[in-house]
Amino acid sequence: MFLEQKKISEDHVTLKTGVMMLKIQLRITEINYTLTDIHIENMCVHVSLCLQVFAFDHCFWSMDESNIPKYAGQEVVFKCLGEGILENAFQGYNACIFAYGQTGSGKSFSMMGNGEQPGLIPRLCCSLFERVSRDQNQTHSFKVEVSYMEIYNEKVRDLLDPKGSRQSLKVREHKVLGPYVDGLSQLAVMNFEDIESLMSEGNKSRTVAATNMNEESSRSHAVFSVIVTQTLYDLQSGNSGEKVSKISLVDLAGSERVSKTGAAGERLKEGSNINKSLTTLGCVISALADQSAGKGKSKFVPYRDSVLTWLLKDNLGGNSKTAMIATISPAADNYEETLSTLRYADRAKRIVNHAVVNEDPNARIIRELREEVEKLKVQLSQAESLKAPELQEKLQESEKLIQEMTVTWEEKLRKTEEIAQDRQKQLESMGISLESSGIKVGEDKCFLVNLNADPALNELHFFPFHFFTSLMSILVVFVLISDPMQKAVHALEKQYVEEKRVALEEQRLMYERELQSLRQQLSPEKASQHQRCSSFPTHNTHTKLRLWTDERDELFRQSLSRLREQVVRANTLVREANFLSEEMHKLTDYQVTLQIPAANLSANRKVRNVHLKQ
Amino acid sequence: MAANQNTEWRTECEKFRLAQELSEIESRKDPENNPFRSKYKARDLLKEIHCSLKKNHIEEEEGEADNEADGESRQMADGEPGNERGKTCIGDSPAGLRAVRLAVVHYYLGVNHIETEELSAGEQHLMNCMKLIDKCTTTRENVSLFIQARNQLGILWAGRDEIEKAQGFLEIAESMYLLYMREDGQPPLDLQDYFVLEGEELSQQEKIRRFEMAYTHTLYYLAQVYKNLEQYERSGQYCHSTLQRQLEYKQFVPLEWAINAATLSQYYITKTRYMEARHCLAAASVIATLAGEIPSEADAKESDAECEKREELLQKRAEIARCWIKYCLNLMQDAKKLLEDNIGELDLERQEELKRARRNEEEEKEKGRKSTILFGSSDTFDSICSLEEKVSSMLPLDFEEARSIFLVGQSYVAQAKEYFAMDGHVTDHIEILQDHSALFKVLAFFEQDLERRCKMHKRRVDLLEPICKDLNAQYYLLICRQLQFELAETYYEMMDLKLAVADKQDQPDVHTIKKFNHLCSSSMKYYQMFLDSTRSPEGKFPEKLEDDLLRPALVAKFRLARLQSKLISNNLATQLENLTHSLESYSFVVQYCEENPEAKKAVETELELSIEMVSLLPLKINRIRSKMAPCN
Repeated sequence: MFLEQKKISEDHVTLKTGVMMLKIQLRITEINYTLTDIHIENMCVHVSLCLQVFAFDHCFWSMDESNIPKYAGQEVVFKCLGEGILENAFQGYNACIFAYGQTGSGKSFSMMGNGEQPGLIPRLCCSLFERVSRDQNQTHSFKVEVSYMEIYNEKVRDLLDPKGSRQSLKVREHKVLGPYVDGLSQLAVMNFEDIESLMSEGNKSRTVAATNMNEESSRSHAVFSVIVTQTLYDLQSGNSGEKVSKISLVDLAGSERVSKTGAAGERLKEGSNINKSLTTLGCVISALADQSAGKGKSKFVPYRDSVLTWLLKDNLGGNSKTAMIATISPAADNYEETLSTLRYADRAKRIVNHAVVNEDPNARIIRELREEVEKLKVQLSQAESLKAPELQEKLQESEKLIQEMTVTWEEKLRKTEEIAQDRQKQLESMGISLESSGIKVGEDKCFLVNLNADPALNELHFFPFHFFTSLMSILVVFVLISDPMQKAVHALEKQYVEEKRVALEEQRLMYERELQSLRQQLSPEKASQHQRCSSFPTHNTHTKLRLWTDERDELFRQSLSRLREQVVRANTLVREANFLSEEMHKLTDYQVTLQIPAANLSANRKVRNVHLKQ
Repeated sequence: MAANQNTEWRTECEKFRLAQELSEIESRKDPENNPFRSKYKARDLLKEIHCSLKKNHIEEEEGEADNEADGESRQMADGEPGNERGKTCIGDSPAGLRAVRLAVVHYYLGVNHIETEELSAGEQHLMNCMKLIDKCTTTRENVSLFIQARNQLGILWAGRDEIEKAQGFLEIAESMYLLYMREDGQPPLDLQDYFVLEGEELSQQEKIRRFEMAYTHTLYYLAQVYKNLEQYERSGQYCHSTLQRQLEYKQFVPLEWAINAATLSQYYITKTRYMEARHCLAAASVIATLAGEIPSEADAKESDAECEKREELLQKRAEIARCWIKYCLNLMQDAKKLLEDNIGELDLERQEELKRARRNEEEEKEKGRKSTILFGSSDTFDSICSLEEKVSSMLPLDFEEARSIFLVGQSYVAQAKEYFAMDGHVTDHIEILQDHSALFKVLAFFEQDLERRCKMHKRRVDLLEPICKDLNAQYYLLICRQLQFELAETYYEMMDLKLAVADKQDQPDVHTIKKFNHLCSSSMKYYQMFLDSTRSPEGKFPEKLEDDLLRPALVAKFRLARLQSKLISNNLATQLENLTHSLESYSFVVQYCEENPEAKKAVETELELSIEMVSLLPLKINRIRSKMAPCN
């Protein structure tokens, strides 16, 4: 009723957050009324009557054209808002402009403008097509399409549907294409005139609907989207790639009607207001659940985003450029609306999606790293203070450890493989072949194979074996001689301590390596690793090794006789079993078979075997 | 005279009925340019009634002596004699009744003025109304009006930002209800009862319904008042009571009620009140089934209404399932917080201690609390209880307990995913997957076997990795980042576990080392992807990170540095390269914080260690260099 008399003028407030921009422009209408005390200072809108200050990132004052230094015209607004958005779109990002404000406060003037002063949309589209025609060439083609929809009461309707159907469409999400409206028409356009005519076409359909729905149109949002598809061809390879970006222009419903009709029921009022109707209980409860942000608690508040926020969610976070134009009027009787627009715009800042990246607690990583820092520090201080041989030794020791950890297994495997193959050949020449199923021994041959798990002794020892020749089954025996190994290690350690005092640095190192490898051999899993120890006995260690070998042989003999006893016992039992089976007329033949798991017999696993042929 | 009075009365009643109709039904059709047309008409009618009542009032006061009771007062005659508390008038005396009737008109006039945005006039009428009934003792004749007038005044004062004043009115209404129910408890008269002809009074049942409804509103308004006063605990309590009463007096829409109860559970979760949360959820699940059968897909294709109904039912049920998931997840996570030591491992001593403590106290405490929160209408009560029994509301203290909660959570994950499918509901679907992953993660905490723990993390990778690859970052950038970060962390965790397993073996075999390196590089890959997502279209890393990204990005760099130095290689050149990268990453953190001092606070410990590493790593690097030299 009071809106028509106003001359439209403008003022803009914009807001920026990080990479993404949410700009809020504010237009203030004049003029026949007493102006409320609204003024703009340092990106802030001061509303004196209620002593409120609203801060935004950008404020444009465009109330009085004659006030040249202050006045911000359409061109200025476009430069500040539109160009960035367009640039972003050409880089393949989405963009969005919201317009919000009371009817007649200059919203459509900002967005569409008039003949002499085109607004944001025509300027944006003109620049868009200018750039398209400039950049278009053999390798770079453009396609521009538009869609236009209306959201009323959370229902989406296609405003460009040629059949004019009022059917509501579904909003969906696609993992590649993002949020979309299922079945929304998307029409190709060649220039701004096309866009303009489609827009007015859609507006007509919107108006018709509005009269049918009585006052409801002021509570419907309209979304006009321009979809730019760029195709880049690579002439040489014939490949092509596509970049799609979407510019959404959103005309938000005004809030002015809501309070007057008292139909605010569905909406949660701000401030300390109480909602009358129990239908808003959900809002109260969800607000309660939302506010109680327990530390690190994740919760699900099942309040659906409005269709609009849902459709534009990518614009409210991420790389999309988003701006909001909020238009207000400084006229005194629009005071309430102005304030509510400002509040809305202020809140819009907070609509921005913040998807928090939840990180695991760092404690363990920090602790580990602290330890390492300490270690390195110790090394550093020692390296600096004393360059004594002992330190060097320590350093080398730790390096050696690292080296051992880091020698790639491929390399080790390769070496091991070579040795294994040599050995196999040797075995084969003697009539024994290594197979995955076990060891095959030539029909008429009996051998005792060195069983010692000690890989430091590379030589396989074959002992011609003459016991149990009468038995026909092949016994494959795996004995892990850990006791003797420990003794050997112990002996070596003792020698090492003795020698340490006199021996040269290099020798010490050698012992350490030896010692290390021996220790590792103590657990069967690592038995496979350290054959190389045997490959470097030098003249210095030779004597010790021999000593040790003798000792080991002695132990070996002992274990062997133990084994022999066990096999004899087993055979006795077998004979008894066979006897029983015969008695019971069972056609079963019992045999003694001691087995090494086949896995342990693979060529690169250095396990010695005893073959007993019975 | 009686006949005359009757006709006159009939007219008043008709006026009243019309005013109600105008105000409540006609007003919805008022045009935009005259939004209060019907309300104004209603107001005029009410004013007329007021005038004639005033006139009668005086007449009757004069004729009081002959004690001639009219139709209405005869009807009231069987009411109990009011007990005096310094009131000038007994509620159910003829004078009392006349006063109430006038007060009712004032009440409606007050509401009418408030609705037409004339708050002061509205307030005036309501105060008049209160003055009239305050003269009387409280009886079943005026108690309903008493409560409703105060409800209205509460709303009015809250709207003026005088919350304490509003609170005062509402709290008086609350205590009045409680007092009345204790001392009388008979169904009181409704406001409408004062303007109906004999024989057209509301039924007892309807009277009760309206009276209880008025009190339910009192509680609901108090819930809002307390919320605005930031007394969230009390607000939650009053929301809970509101829900209880809706159920008790069958004044609810099943789906709406169910969603509200489910939402309230999320509030309780943040307050670690799991018994209440579980009760809300169980009630939500049960009440949601009252909304009817889900129309079959075939039926949905036939009619739009069926289709919409199907969609709504499926959606709400899936939403309730998602609330259940959060319940299970938080229950386990809270237990983890209690049980973990300073590096996030299960603290066995603490576990024992808590188990002992639980045996002693929990049960006693629960019983007392439980009785006040029950949602019980007799027909649903049993099903609510049996649903509750399916999952514990106590913090799990060992793997078995955690596992049973995990399984319940997992079944709700499956249920929620049915509706929130990837096709059409990308964001929701992924959120559910993230919850599923979080369930595995917290379950892994309770698992003592490292290999099995590692497998649980592998399940997380299997859940998240495929979608992370598919998702278009143009639309889902923030989700992509979350996924990348979580995947990076999960691989890190697995790498740590593999290392721990290998440590136990003393000597890792070739397979383990390969696996270790693979996990390392996978973790690095996702940290790198996360960092790359912050780059500008030209591929430039931002000079200044957004607040949201600051800590995650620097932490990602820091962990990347750590991982780079952890890679195992026997090749000196590769070692050198890895360490050099590591040094670069540490330096990045240090340098960024130098250039942006405000970042220091966000990554204090990481920065401190990065500075150390920047000074120490060159030592290591030089050593490798010197070793390489003789080789060449």
